[in-house]
Amino acid sequence: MDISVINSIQEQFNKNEATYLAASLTHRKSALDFVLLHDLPDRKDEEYKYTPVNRILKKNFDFEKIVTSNSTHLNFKDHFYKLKGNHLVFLNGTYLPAQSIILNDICCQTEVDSKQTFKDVFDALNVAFCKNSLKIEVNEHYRPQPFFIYYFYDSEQGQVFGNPNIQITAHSNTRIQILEKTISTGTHPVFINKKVGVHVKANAQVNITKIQNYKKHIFQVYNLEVNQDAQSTFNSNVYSFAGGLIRNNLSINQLGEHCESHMHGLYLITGHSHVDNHTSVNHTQPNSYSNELYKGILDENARAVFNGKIFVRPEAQKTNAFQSNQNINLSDSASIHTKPQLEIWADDVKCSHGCTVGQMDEEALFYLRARGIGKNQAKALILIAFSEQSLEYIPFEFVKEEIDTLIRKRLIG
Amino acid sequence: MSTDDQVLEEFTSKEYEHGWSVDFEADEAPMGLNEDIVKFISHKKNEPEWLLAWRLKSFRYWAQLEEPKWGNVHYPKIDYQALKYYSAPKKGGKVKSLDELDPEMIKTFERLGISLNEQKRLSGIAVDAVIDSVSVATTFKETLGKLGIIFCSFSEAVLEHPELIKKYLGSVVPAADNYYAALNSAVFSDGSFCYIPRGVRCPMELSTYFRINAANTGQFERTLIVAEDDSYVSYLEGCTAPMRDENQLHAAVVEIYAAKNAEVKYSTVQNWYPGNKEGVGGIYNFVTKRGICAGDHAKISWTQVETGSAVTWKYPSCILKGDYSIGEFYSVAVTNNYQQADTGTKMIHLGKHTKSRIVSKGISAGKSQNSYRGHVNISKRATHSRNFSQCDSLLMGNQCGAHTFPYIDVENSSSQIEHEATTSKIGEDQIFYCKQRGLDEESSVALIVNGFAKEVMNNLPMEFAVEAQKLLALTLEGSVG
Repeated sequence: MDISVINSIQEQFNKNEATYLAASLTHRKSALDFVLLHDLPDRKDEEYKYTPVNRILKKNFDFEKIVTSNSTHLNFKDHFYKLKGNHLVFLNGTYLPAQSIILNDICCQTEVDSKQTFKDVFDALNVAFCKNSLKIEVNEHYRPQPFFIYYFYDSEQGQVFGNPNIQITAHSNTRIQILEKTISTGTHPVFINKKVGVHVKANAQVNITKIQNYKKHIFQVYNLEVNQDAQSTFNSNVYSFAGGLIRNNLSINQLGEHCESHMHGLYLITGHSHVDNHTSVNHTQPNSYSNELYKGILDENARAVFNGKIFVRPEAQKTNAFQSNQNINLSDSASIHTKPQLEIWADDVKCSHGCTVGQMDEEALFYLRARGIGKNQAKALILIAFSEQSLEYIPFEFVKEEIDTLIRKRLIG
Repeated sequence: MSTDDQVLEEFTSKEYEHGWSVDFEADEAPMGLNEDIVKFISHKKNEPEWLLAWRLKSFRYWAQLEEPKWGNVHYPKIDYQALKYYSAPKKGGKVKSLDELDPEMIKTFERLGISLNEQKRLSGIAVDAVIDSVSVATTFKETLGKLGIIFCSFSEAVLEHPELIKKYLGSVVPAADNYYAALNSAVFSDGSFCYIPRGVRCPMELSTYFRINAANTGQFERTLIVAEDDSYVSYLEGCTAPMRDENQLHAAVVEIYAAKNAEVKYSTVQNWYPGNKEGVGGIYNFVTKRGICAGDHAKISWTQVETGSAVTWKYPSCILKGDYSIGEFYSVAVTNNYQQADTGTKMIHLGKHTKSRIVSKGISAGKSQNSYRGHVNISKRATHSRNFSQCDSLLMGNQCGAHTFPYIDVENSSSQIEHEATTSKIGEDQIFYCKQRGLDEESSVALIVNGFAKEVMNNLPMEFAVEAQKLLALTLEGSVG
C-alpha cells in the first residue's frame, strides 16, 4: 500500500471537514474509511491492470497541492449551446445552480446522503469529497427539454480535484436526453472523479452522450451506474479524443424484463492519451437486450483499454447480448489491451462478442487510389467511414456535426 | 447413425468406464511433504546430485508461494500434507523385457485398451505407460532407437542422457513459473522424455498413458519433448483414474522445445475420474503445459479433448519466438454434473510474422461451469503477426454456466487479431429437423454435438479421434431431455 497518497487524501479530508454539513459527515467519513482501507487501485488490481490509477496520479497529481477556490474569470454562458434546454453548470466539480438555466423545476442541489452507496474506491472517494450533489428527477409522463451539462475546470491557481456527483431518476414513461461536455482553463493538473447514478423506471428512456476532449493534464475517472426497470431503454454514447487519462466505468443493471441497453463508443487518440473503457451489463431478468459497439483508432503513443463484461444470470432466459470492439492501430508505439468477457448462466440465450485489432484495409486503399484519390485523403476517407458508424445513436443533430468535425479535424489535419 | 446409437447404448449403464482399481503391492513414501520426502524421491530414483539440488530449490521456492486464486473454479483447500508423493508398484520398476513385467500390470493396461505387447500391436504406436509415480513399460524402444529417437521414461533419461535433461529441463517451464509447476519440479516422480534428432520424421505416434491407481496419492509427472531442426513428432497423452470418494491431485508439467523447422503435435484425451453425479470425488487437474518455437518456421500444435476431472485448470501455451513460427490450439472441453473447467491458452508472439490459431469449443451440461481463458500477446517486435481466435460455447440445461475471458494485448501496428465468441444452446429447430428425419432426440444431440466439436476432432490423430468421439457422447449421457 502506498502510504503517501492515502495520507494526503486523509489530510485533504481533514482540511475540508469543517465545510461539510453535519448531516452528511458520518456518511462521508465511512466513505473515506472505505478509501483508506482499499487504497487506490494499482497494476495488481485486475480491473485496473492496464490503468494503474495510483501510479498515474502519483506521477502527475499531488493531493497536497489542491486549491479549492471557486472563483474564475470564465464566462459560463459563452460556452452554452444556443439551444432551448436546461443548461447546468459545474465548476471544479461543484454544481452552481445560480449560473445554470433551468426551464423546469426538476433539478435541485442536494447533499450526499446515505442512499448513495459505494462499491468502488472512486465512488467512495467521490462521496467523501463532493461539495454537493445535483439531483434530476423527472415525473411520470413528462418529456423535459434536453439537459446540457457543462463541467468547467479552472486550474490556473493550482491543482484541482473535482468530484461532480449527479443522481438522475427517470420515472415511468419519460424521456431524458443528456449531453455532457468539459471545458477547462489553466495548466495545473486536474483530477476529475465523477459519479453519476441513473435510475430508469418502467417504460422510460434515458440517453447520455459524452464528449471527452481533454487537455493532457486532465485525468478522469468516471463511474456511471445505471439501474433499469422493466421495458426501459438506456443509451450511452461516449466519444474520447484526448486526455492524460480517461477511465470510463459504465455499469448497467437490468432489473426488469424487456430492457434494452445500447452502448456506443469511439476513441480517436494520439499523443500520450490513455483511454480505458470498462463496461458491464448485468442481465437479471428474461427477454432483455443489450448491444455494444466500441471503435478505436490509435496513433503515436496512445494506449487504449477495453473491457466489456456481459453477465447473464440463471433467470435471464431469452437474453440477446452482443458486444464488439474494433481497433485500428496506426503506430508501432501505440498499444491496445482488449478483453471482451462473457459470463453466462442461462442456456436459452444468444450471446456473442468479437474484437479485432488491425490496420487500414490495403485493398480499400488501393481501390480509392486507383480512382485518383491522394494517399492521405484516401486514408482519411477510410478512417472516417470506420468511425462514423458510432454516431448513429446520438439524438442531437448538432452534436453529430460537432463530433464529425472533431473526427475530420483529427484525421485530415 | 448406428454407431452413435451403439455408443450411447454401450454406455447407458455405466458412469465412468475406468473407475476400477487393482491392488498392486506398492512402495510408497510416507504421507506429507517436506525436504526429506523430496530427498526420498530423488534417492529412490538414484538421481544425480544436481537434480536433487534443483528439486530442493524448487521446493523451497514453492514453500513460500501462495496457492493462486484467480481461476474461475471453486474447491475446498487442498491439504498438501495429507497426500503421498510417491507410490510405485513393487514389482514394476526396471524390467529388461516385457516378459518380466508383472502380468497383473499387463492386464491392467489391456483392460484400459492399451497393449504393451509389441508383437500383438497392429497399429504402430509406441507407448510409455505410467502407473502412479513410475513408468512401468515403454514399447518400441529399439525400433525408434535405430532412427536416433530417444523415447523412454524420465527417470531413465536422467540416468542415461543427463546432458540433454540438464539442458532442457525447466527451459520452457521454469521451476519458479507458478505454484503447481514449482510443486511438480520438487516432487515429480516420472514421466516421459522424447528426443527427435535433426531431420528425423518420427515414423509412429508416440504416446504416454497415465494411470492413477493408489489412493491418497498425487500424480506429478513431467514430460519433456525436444524436437531438433527439421524434425517431426506427433505425441499422444491419455489418462484415467479409479473412482474414489476423495479428491486426488494431478499436477503435471509438459515442456516442448521445437527448434528450427521442427513440428510437434501434442494431443491429449483427458479422462480423469470426474467425480460422481453429486460432485463427490474426482481428480483436480492442475497442469502446466507450454511449448516454445525456439527456431524460425517451427510449429507447435496442441489438441485437447477434456472430458474428465472434477476441476481442470490448464492452459497449454505457445511461445512463438522464432520468426514465421506457428502456434495452434484446438480444444473441446466438456463438463457435466458438478465439474468445473477453466482452460484455454496463451499465445505469446515474440518473432516476426508469427501466426497463431485458437479454436476452443466448450460444452457445459448439468450443474457444471466451463470457462475459456486465453491470452494473446503481440509484442512490439512481433511485426506482421496474425492471430485468429474462436471460442464457442454450447449450453445444455439451465443450471450450468459458460464463461469467456479473453485477454488481447497488441503493441504494434502491422499485426492483425481477430477474436470471436458465441454462446447458445442446441436450438429446438435443429432437434426438430433431425427428428423429422427419423433420429431420436439423443442421437440428434449426439449428431449436433459432434458437428459442433468437429473442427477440433479433425485435428486428433485417427487412433484418438474414435475414442474422443465415444467419450464425448458418454460424458453428455443423460444431460438432455
